[in-house]
Amino acid sequence: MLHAKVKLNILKEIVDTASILVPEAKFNIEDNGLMTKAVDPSRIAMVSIEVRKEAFEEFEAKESMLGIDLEKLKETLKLGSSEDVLILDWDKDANTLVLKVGNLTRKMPLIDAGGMPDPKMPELDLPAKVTLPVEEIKKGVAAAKSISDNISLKISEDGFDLSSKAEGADQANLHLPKDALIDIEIRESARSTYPLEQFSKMINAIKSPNVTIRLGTDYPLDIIFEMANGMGNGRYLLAPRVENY
Amino acid sequence: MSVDSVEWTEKYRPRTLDEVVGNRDAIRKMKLWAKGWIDGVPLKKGAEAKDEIMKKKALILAGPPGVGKTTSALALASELGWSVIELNASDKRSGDIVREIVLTGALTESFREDGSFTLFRDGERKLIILDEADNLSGREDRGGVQAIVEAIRKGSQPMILIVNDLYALQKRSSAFKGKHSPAAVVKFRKPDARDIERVLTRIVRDEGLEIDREIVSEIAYRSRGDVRGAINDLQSFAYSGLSVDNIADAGARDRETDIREGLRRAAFSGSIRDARKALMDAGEDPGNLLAWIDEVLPRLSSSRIELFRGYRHLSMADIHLSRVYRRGQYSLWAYATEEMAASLMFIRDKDRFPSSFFPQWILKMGRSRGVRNIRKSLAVKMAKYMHTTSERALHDALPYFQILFNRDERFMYEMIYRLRLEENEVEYLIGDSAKAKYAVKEAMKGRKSREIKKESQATLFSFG
Repeated sequence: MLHAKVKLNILKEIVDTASILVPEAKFNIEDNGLMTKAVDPSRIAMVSIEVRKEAFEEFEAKESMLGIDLEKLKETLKLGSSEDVLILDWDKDANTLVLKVGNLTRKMPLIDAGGMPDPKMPELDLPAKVTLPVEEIKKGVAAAKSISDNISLKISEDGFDLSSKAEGADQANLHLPKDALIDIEIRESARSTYPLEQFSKMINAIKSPNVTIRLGTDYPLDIIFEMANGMGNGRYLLAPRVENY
Repeated sequence: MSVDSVEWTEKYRPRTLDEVVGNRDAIRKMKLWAKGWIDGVPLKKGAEAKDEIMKKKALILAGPPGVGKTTSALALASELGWSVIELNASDKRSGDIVREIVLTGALTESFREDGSFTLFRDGERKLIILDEADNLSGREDRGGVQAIVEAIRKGSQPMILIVNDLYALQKRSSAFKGKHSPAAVVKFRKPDARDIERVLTRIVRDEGLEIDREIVSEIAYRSRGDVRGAINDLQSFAYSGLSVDNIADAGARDRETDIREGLRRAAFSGSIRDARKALMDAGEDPGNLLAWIDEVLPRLSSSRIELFRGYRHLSMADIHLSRVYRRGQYSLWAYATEEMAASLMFIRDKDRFPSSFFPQWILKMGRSRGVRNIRKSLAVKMAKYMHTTSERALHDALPYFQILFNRDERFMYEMIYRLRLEENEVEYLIGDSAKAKYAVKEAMKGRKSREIKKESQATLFSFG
């Protein structure tokens, strides 16, 4: 059972965070909020989202699972503006989600959630961690885009580096010294390379101003951020490039 | 008999390469290739390897359906503990998705659903299996094949492409031809009936069933090298208790539904392009598909002009197909499918689509298969004896041979002995199984023919 009222931009944030990786997602609804986890079809990236009921204007729910076609939901969200309040109702018998925006009602059939995977997020013991404004990372990503399909991240005593290198001499490096960072914790310095396209999608989907990045050498990247104005949190994992040797 | 819903093809799918039926040479090559990857040979420039196949980044497993290509690829991965990404090239909505998944997938480590992930440096690999790689896209997006070639060249993870028709793939991209191809070709052949029989016997034993050995061997024989088909047939037989003559029909049931559904979708699709896609998705051999359309077209047509228009295209498809089969002009295959799709475009009254039908032609050919095989084996034996072709023997000599055989007992015994005729062949010739059995037994002792010879000589002498 689910009945909720939510600002359109909050729902959009949730959908956008997941939809960069998967076209459909299974949402686990509980009485104190909702959560979802997914792994993308090429299995190189994972997402996990938890949003507490306080992020909603109204939220009444009992434990349930909803399989949602994110592309369809995205289209529906275009029908309103960001400050509109949406009413969500789950019609269990018809297995449809009913959305109301103003005078508009949109009924959406749900996907059978039983057949959808329930991936586990790996436990990662990562030796380096930084917290910094997302805007800074975006600059580094923009600079890397014209150069390579990959981006390298490095956390060391000197600070945080984002760099990319082409086969010729083209290269870009964004160096953020320690005092440009909000927080840094290092057990040992770490460096890994990741596919730029996925990294860029993730960074651009993040709405919160700050983000925490955990890094290990040739290990998956862990990106942690707040969602729904602090009433939820999100996490992306991205698998590293296999370094040729 | 209890009915469990698990498909035996899944339940008894080999988990290791050594369990795969037949194809020992192919399996050996796959192991060698995997060893190359474990040592990282394909990623090292100019690395030495004791076999060329170890230097290749990808493998192409080529062979007819149901002989164990996908099974072997999965078994290889599970034996080595590699992660698997399995993609079916034909069911992706666009080449872009294949491109993205294959290309990025081939370059990176990956997550497993159980919360672990691969680490290349610890020897863990991710095997990308691209099924039906020969069905990838059509003319619409050649990009798909290019993306695969690119993914193999740039990639740092092992990849296996699975194809029924190697030429179709090579036609799309010449990169797969010659010794510079980034992928080595491993051919899978149909395992012989005895190997399949062994597999079936094991299943019968493990399932605790009591099925006659003869029936098991008949199912193995009829599968003609299609292991998956044979196992499906065995399962249908075990559940339904049909007589052995019905097995072929029973086992074909799933396939039939696919084809009927494909045809229905094709007829309803409204454009040749979509219809062609639907036909290709049906996954049936074009020759059989032709028989199916031939069966349904007259029932769908509500006027003679519709029928005429439909058959005008279907007959073109037939011509293309015969050139494919007789002269090996595989490039015409695409046109045949196109014409078949076109033949369904003139149907106005979709409601006429029959809910159940099966091509009479295939049915008749299936029923007469036993007899045709006997005639063929007879012809081969006669041809050798007569120093002619079996075709000649079949058409010119066999009718007279049969008359002589029935009229002249001495000729019969002599021929049974000299041509080493089998019981079923003699039965075909004289139409009496008890008599055939006796005749073969006697003739093989060789006595009967000699006795008759003496007798007739005696008669001859008595004249004098």
